[in-house]
Amino acid sequence: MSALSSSKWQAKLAAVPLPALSLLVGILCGLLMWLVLEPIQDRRLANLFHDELVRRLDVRAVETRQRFEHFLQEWRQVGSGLSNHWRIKNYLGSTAWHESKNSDKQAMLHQQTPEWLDPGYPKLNSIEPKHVVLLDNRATPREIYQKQSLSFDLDQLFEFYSGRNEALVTLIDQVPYLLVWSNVSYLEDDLAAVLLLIVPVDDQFLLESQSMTNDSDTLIALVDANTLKLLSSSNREMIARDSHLNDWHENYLLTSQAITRFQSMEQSLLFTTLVSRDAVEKTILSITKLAQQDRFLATLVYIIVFSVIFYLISAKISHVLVRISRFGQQALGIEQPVTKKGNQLLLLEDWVKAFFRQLISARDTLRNRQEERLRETEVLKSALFDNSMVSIVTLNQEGIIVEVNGTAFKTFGYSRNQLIGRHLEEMAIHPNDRERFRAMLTACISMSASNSKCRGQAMQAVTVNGEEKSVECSVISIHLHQQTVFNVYLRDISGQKQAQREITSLAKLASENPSPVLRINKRGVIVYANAASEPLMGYWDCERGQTLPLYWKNLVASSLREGTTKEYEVNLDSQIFSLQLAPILELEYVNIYGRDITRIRMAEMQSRQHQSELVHVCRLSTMGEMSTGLAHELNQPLSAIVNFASGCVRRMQSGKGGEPEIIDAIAQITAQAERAGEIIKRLRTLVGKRPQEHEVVNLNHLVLEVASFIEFEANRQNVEVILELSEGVLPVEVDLVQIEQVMLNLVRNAIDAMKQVDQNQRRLVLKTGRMSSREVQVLVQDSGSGIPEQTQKHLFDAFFSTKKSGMGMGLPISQKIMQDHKGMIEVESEYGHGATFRLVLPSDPTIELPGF
Amino acid sequence: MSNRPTVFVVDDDQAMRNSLKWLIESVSMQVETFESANAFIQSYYPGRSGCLLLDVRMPGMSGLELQEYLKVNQIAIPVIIITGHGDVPMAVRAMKAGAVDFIEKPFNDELLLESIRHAMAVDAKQRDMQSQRAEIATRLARLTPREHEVMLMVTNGKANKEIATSLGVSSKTVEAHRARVMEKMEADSLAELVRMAINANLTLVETPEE
Repeated sequence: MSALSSSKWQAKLAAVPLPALSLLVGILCGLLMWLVLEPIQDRRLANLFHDELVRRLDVRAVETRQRFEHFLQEWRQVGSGLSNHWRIKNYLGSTAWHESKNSDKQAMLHQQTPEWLDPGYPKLNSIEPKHVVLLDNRATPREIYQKQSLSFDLDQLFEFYSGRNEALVTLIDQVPYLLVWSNVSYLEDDLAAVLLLIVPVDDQFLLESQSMTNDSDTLIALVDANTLKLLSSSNREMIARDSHLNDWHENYLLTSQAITRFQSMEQSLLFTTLVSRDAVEKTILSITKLAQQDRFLATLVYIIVFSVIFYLISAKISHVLVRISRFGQQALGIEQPVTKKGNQLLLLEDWVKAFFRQLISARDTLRNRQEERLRETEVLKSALFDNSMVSIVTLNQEGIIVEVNGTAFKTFGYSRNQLIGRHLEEMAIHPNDRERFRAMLTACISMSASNSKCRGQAMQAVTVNGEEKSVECSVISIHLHQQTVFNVYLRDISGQKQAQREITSLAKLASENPSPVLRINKRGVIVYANAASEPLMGYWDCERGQTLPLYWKNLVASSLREGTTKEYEVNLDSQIFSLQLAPILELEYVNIYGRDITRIRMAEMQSRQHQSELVHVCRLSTMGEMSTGLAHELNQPLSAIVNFASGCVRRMQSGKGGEPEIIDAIAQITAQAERAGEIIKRLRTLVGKRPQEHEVVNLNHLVLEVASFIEFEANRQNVEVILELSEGVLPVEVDLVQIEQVMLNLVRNAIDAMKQVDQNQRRLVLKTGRMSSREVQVLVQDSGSGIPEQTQKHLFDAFFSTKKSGMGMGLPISQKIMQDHKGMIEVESEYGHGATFRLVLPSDPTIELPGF
Repeated sequence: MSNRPTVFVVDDDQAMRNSLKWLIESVSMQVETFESANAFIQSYYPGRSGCLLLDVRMPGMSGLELQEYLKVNQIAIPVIIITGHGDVPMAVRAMKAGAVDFIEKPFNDELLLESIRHAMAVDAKQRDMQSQRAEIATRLARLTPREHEVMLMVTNGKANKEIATSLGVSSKTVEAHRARVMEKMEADSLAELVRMAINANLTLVETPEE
């Protein structure tokens, strides 16, 4: 129950924001302090005041007494002054009192100021002596100056006379009087008379004695010491005569003092100072109130300061707390228990508790995970150990096997139990290598594990069957707590050795290659070059390990940059190589594979030469070209003839030339004319008039021949040549040269026709086929722009040409040749879609080809 | 060697060479024949006056190539091109490359001779210009830089006052300069001075505007 309520309380407390709580606590503390301190302070203050008051009262009492005594002293001086006055001395000198023993004779009474008395003098402040008595030297009163009638018997006064000048306060008939005795003398020591001033010590007197202060709260009084009755007071209205001193204790503070200096021995009068309790208490009250106010203010200030400080601290704490909680939330993922409102301190406590709980649980999770991982690692390690491809044997310091993995006993053919407890070297190491193995072990102890002596030593191992195996042996010493063990790794390298042999033999692929094989690094340095590369290196004038010439170095670099294989040709004096640059990007090498293409190039060259001869033939025989050449050829002799003739004419006209010169020139003309005739004759032999030499050939073969002739030309013009030859033999009996010329003429025309067409669209189709049992055909199709219909009509007309340099003779002559062969030539073309020329030749399928 | 104007004939065909020589000599001109462009280059030196009769089609260095060679080596001999049938495009190229004429074979003798005469005249004029230019150059070399400046401005048609302002000198000084320029250039008139300037290919060097 109480726990419940306390938790409830706690919840309520937690809901109060810390600054507010701090304010509350501050106020409570302040109030408590105030409540506790107030009475104590009050009491202490009162005591303090009381003491102070008493001290003050004492001081005041002394002050009042002193003032009073001073006043009395003044009266004595007044008496002295009067007694030494010239008037009295004069009077005494002139007057002689009659002697009398008895004092029955009444003294002379004066109502007016007597002549011996200084009229202005016997007054002090407003107090006048009631009686001034002049006595003779035997203390008999002789003259009395009185303002009022004397209320008591004068004689009784004389007993108070001591013969000295003095002022005495004397109680006469319960009324206090001041008696001032002053001796009057002419000469020294000679007493002539005595002057007595009688002053009633009444209220007025007391008041006058304190004339310096007019304090209504402080009263003075004369009190009979025996009866403690008040004889007179400074304020009669407040302090009545004859009242008892004790009656006034209630309202006044009383201090009584003796005034011994102005009193005869037998008299007992007390000078009493009365201070009004009311006034004192009022003062005390006002001071206390002031103090209270001060205290209240102090408390208030205290509360404020305390609250502010507390508030600031709590604000800071709350700020820090928010940050901590944010940190907790963000960094640790702990749910934030601290809200913005509420008592942060309490919340912090909760939060810290939660934090630690989380921390502990996280630690536990971590530890569990770690243990799990450790277990997994252990399993993995043992799996690794057992399934490693390497035989792993653990030896103790004596070389005795303490552990082996699965591979080890599989490799050596022993069971696990057979191996453990035995010496490894005896079991598995070849006798020749045992020495070395022991040396490895000792080396391994003394040196660091990474020492090469303990690593990768090739050895022969022996299996249970006595079979020898090449192994690579590594030893690692493991320093355990108390002992050192060795892990011996035996890697079966029989396979590896085989692989090595394979690699070595593979390397021979390059080294024994009859073609050059080189490897160049990215800086152009020859990393490898086989023996066949010598001529190349000789050409480059560099050796292995040196840099290629700049041109080739750049080629290598560009090949690497572009990552594509490229082929280049290099022409040595006696050899031509095709070099293929194959980049190996990941290694930044370029492999160069050379190929001796001397023969190929030679063959090509020959074929080209053959072709150029053919072309020359063609030039003469394909009629268009021939005519141009003919024109030029003929021009020469003709021009020369003209020149010679003109020269002759000019000379003859001017009569300059001599006869022999002219004759010579004319001979020249003759020679040139003959030359022209020669050309014409040559032309005739070439065209048509040559006796036809018919032979039986396969038309397919003929087309292939033509195709190989124009291969070079076609390649140059990027023309794709497609052969669609019929199966079987197409025997024709023709003049081979003439038919070739016809076909070449057509093919060249076709290639020319495709010059205007896009390079990808240039396609030449040569198609053969049998039309009937008597006829075969050759089609020459191009993908050129075709022949307009208008042009088609004139194609076979002589001197019709669409070419700038053509003579328009090719097709007419071709037609003539075909007609001679009892064949025909025709054309089909749709403008814009290429052209097809068809050659038709008679063919007897029964004819046998020679050599078939 | 004499510096008589000579017709240099370059043709690979001997009959052509001989016949041309025969024809041209008939009008009393000096002829030298060469069987190839290289033979011509080896024997010719720039001082020789005359013209070049060139067959376009030749083995080895062709006519056009020889033309190119002459141009590169700044040999300013006039060239007549002889072409055969169907060489019209080549002839056009030759003309573009600076040939003075081209003649198609077989040619009219009068036409050829006329063409040669014209080429000779061109050569003579060129040579004259060249010698004049050399003479003007030596005269120009005598001028002080300031006089050179004045001459440039004068020949660009500036008045004395303008010159004085742009050079920051008095008109009288300009006049004095001008007189000395005329004297040193051996010019009788302003027109002659201007002709010299044009001949010498003088271009106005812009005087910086102050």
